[in-house]
Amino acid sequence: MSYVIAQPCVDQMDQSCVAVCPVDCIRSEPGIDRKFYIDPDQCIQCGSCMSACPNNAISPLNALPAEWIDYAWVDAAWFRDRDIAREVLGEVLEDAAAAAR
Amino acid sequence: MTLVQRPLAGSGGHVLPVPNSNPETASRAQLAPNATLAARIDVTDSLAIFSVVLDEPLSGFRPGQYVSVGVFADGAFVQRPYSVVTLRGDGDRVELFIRRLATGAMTTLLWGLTPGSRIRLGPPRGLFVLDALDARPRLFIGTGTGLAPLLAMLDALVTHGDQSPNVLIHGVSYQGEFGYAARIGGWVNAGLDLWYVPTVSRPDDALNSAWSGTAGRADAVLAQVLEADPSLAGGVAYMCGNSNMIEACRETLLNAGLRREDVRAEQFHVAPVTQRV
Repeated sequence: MSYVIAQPCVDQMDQSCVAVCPVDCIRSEPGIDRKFYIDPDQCIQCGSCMSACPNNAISPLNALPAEWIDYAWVDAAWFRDRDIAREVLGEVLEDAAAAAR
Repeated sequence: MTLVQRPLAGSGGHVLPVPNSNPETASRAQLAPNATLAARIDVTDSLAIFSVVLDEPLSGFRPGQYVSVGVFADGAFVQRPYSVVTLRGDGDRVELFIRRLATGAMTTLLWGLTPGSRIRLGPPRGLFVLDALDARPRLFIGTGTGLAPLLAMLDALVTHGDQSPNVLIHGVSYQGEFGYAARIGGWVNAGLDLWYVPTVSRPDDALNSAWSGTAGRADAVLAQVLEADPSLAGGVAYMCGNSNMIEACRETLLNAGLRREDVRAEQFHVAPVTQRV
């Protein structure tokens, strides 16, 4: 069970998680992505990223708040098809904005 | 591989193969062994010092950081992060202080290795690092194998001929678990300004019957140390260990007057299926 990076990371991208991940499983494309993504294939569930994140954006999958459950899909998908993951992230953010309105 | 439909209405119905958690899918080239186990020195039945020799020097290490240790077994690759105790030689000899967990998959594998076994060490990672240029008094507080990154920091201070006052509180359950007392004593004899306070948290246990030193949990001992030397309240603290100890000590330190930014900690994180050590 992997950790997941959720909405608080969007447009923040503090990078502390990247600095502490012992297996380098947190990625993004600079200048393109709006958040970091955790590779569930590589994550060893050490929790270092969660402790380091100043934005409280990271949770283990089984503790992910319900409103952010789509981020588990987005994180996993990014390592298979980045364009689709970004597209879906955009939809998730639009849905969240609409719900907030 | 599982196909999972994103469960959002209006999402366009994207269907992607969602990665499973099988580490076998990771690149084998990326995970190739790059180090050899040189020795395991048992401190107790469940506590040991591992000496590892890297094929290439470990670059960029800062005292306090950890590395991922990876072992291949039965077609799987298992990794866990461990704090580095020392980096010796030309940066190619790494020492680790590890506790064997009763149900730990990784430590079971590690204890099954013999000298000469090939393993993989990842690059150094972590933000819990020594600020050697900060000359204020330093409080190092660790429990169990949480001593490991603190030893790396003290080792660096010895190397640099540090002159600042340092305190090291090391809490363990049983007196046989201190492990590094002789090395620490050597540093003091070599001139390091260090007040070493080993303490056992279970003084009434039969295994501690020969112990005549400090007793009590690390946070209680910390309070006594701060009372004995109030100047430490103007210093900086480095802590590593279980989260309960860290939070208790953090409160004690803040109450004593340390600034929040001067209380630095690396805590063992209990993850859903494994434990950081």
